[in-house]
Amino acid sequence: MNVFEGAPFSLEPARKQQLLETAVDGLSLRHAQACPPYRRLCERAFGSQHLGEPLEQRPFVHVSLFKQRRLLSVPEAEVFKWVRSSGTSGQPSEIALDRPTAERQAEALRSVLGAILPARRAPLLVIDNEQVLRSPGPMVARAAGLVGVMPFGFDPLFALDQNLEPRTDEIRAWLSRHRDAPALFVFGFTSLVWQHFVQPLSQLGLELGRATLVHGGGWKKLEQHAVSRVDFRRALGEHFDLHRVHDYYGLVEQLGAIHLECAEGVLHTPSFAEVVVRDPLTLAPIGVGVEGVLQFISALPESYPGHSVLTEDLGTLVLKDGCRCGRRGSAFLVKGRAPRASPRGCSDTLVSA
Amino acid sequence: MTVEVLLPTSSIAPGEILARLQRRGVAPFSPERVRFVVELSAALLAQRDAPELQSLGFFCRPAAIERLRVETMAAQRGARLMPRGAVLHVTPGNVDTLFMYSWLLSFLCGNLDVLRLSDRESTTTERLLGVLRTLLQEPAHANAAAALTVLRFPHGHPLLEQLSLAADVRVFWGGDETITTLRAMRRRPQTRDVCFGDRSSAAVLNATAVLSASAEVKEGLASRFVTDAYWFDQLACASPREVIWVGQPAEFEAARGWFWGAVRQRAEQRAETPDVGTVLKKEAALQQLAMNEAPVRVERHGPWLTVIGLDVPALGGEACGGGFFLESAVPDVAALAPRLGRANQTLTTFGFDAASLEPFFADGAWPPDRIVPVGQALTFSSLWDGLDLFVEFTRRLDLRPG
Repeated sequence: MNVFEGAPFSLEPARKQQLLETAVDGLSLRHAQACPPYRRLCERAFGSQHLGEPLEQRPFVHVSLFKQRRLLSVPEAEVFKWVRSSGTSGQPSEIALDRPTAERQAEALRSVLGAILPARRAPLLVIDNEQVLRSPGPMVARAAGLVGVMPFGFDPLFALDQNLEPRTDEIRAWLSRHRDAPALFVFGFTSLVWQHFVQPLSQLGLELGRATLVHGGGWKKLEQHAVSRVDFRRALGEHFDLHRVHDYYGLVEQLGAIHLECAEGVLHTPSFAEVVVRDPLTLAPIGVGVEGVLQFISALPESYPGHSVLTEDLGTLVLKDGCRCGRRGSAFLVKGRAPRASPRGCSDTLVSA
Repeated sequence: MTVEVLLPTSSIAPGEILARLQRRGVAPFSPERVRFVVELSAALLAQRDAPELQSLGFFCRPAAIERLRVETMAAQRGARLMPRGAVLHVTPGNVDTLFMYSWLLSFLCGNLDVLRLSDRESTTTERLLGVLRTLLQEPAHANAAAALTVLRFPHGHPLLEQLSLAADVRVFWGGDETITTLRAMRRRPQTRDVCFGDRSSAAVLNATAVLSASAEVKEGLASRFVTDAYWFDQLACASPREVIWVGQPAEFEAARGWFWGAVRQRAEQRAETPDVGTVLKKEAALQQLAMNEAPVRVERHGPWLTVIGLDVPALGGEACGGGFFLESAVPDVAALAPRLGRANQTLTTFGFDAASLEPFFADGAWPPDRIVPVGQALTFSSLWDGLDLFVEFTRRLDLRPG
C-alpha cells in the first residue's frame, strides 16, 4: 500500500480515505505493539484501536503527551534524530525519528512541494539566519523545516544575519547572480518573513516576480501586529511583485505532513494526511463549517505514535472536496490556539503579567 | 504600569496608598467594625442571584460574628489583644470570593488592610467590589473606608515591594512557585507571612453508610458533593479532586455506581459549561494517566464528569478542574492514614464518627488540616490550613503592670 500514490492533492476522496484507513490500521498495530504507553492509552481511554473504522473513530494522542514523555516505537538505538518543537509556551515536544520515518517525511515534503514548485530546482532564498541550523542538542522545528526544504533549491542564501537584520548587499548580489533563472524559491517563517524581510526591504524595489514563497509557523505574532493574511499577500505583491504565496501548516509531531494554502486561502490536506474537527465541549467529530478542535492524521510516523494527534488549535473544516483551486480532498482554516483553561483556583496570583 | 485604586474610591492617588498604612488600627471586634461587617452581610445576602456572595454574607452574619468574638475573647488566656497593624493580601487568581474571608477576619481584628487583586476581572469580583464601594461611601463607614485599600496593578510593579516593606503581616495566596517568589520580596524582619499555597483535597466516603442511607440522605450527599466540587470549577484547594471509598469491593462497586450517576446528573444541571481549554486539559490529564504503567480505569461520563479509577489513593497531583476525579477504594481508615501527607488540606467525609478516624492521628501519620462533612469543603473558617487566623492577625500583649 503506497500512501504516496499519485499527486498529493489530486487523489479522489474515497480512494484517499481507503488508503489512509489501511495505513492507519498498520501504524496503529505497529505502535500498539512497540509502544506500551500508546497501547495502554488505546485500550483504556478508547476501548480499542478501532481498526477498520472511519478515521474520526480512531484513538488520538493529545499533543501535550509528547511534551510530557518520550513516546517511542523503536529501540532508542535506532533513533538518529530528536526533533524539538520551538516551545513558545512551556515544555517543548520531543519527537524521535528513525531513518525510515525521516525518509518518509522527506518523500512527503517532496511530494507536497513538488505540487507547487517548478520541476527543476530553483535558487533558494531562506528568510532566516544560518545559525538556526547550528544550535546544539535536539533539532528545533524551525531548523527541521529548513533542512527539509534545502534540497528543493540550489545556491541557498540566508537572507538574515545573526541579529536577524536583512543582508541587503548579499540579497542583491544573489538576485543579480540569478537574473536569468526562470524561477526562484523563497522559504521562511511567517513572522520572520514579515518583520525581517517584507517590512525593512519594502522600499528597495527588489523584484521577486519569478519567485514562489512558502511560509509557515503561524500567525500569532502577526496578529499581535494586526497583520492579516490579506495585508501579508498585498504587501508581497505590491513591493516585491511576489504573487505565488503559500502558507503551510504542520505539526512538529507530524513533520512532512504539510497542509498547504491555495489561492482560495484555505489549507489543503495532502493525500497521506487528514484533518478531523472535534466539538469543543464533547470532542465528538463535527462536520463542515463548525469551529472546533483540530486533530490530524498522518500516515508517516513509524518511530513514534504520532499518526493521530489532537492539537490545541481551533479551526474549521471548510470543505470535504471540490475547492475552486482544483485540489481534491478536505480543506480547513486554522483560527489559532484554543484559550487556555481559565486559571480559577487559589493559585496563580502572579501568572497574569 | 498603572495602579488602579478600586476601593474605597478611585479618587485616592497612588501616592497616598503607603501613607494610608501608617495610621493605627483599632481594637479587635470594635463596635464600629462589627457594624460595618453586619451591614455588609445584609447587603451580600440580598444578592439573590449570586450564591457565592450570599455564602460570604452568611459567613459574616451577626450571629456568626458574635460567636467568633466570644470564642476569640475566651481563648486569649489573659492576654490583651491588639491588631498587628498593616496587612498586605495578595489574592488568588480567581476564586472570586475566597480571599474576602481572610480580609474579613483581619478587618475584624482591627488591622489596616491593603489587597492587591489579580488582573483577571470576573463578574463576581466586580459585583463584590460594587457592594463594598456603596457601603464604604456612607459617612458612617468613613473609618472602615480608611482601613481598606483594594488595588489592581500589573505584575512587576514596584508598589508591591513597597507594600511588602510597609506590612506587618503578608497574606499570600498562590501556587508554590508564586508564593516562593512573593516571599522573597523585601520586608521588615518582624513581618509575619500567612501563606495559602497549593493543596489538594479529597472526599472520603463510607461505602456501607452510603448504601444504607435513605433516599433523601443520598440525594443530599450527591448534591452537597457537587457544591464542594463544582462551585469554583473544582479548582479551589478545598474542593475534592479525589474520591476515596472505605469499604469492601462489593459495597464499593454498588455505592459508586449510584454515586457517579447522581453526581453527573446534578453537575450537568448546575455546573458551568466547561470551556474548550478545560476540556483539553482534562483530556490531556486523562491520557497521561491512561498511559501510565499502573492500572487505571478510565471513565468518561460526558463533558462534566471524568472518573479515573486507581488501585491506591493518589492524594496529590495537579488539579485540572471541570469535574475530573481520581477514585480509589481502601478496606478501612487505617489503610488510608499512611497515605496522607503535607499536600493534603481538606477531607470531606460521609459516614464516619470522630472515633473511626483516630488512625489519622496515630504516631507518624500526617492528618489533614481540615476534616469536615461533605458539603462544607468551601465553608471558610478562621481555622484554615492549620492556622488560627485570629492568632495570625492579632498581637497578644502580656500586660502585668506593677
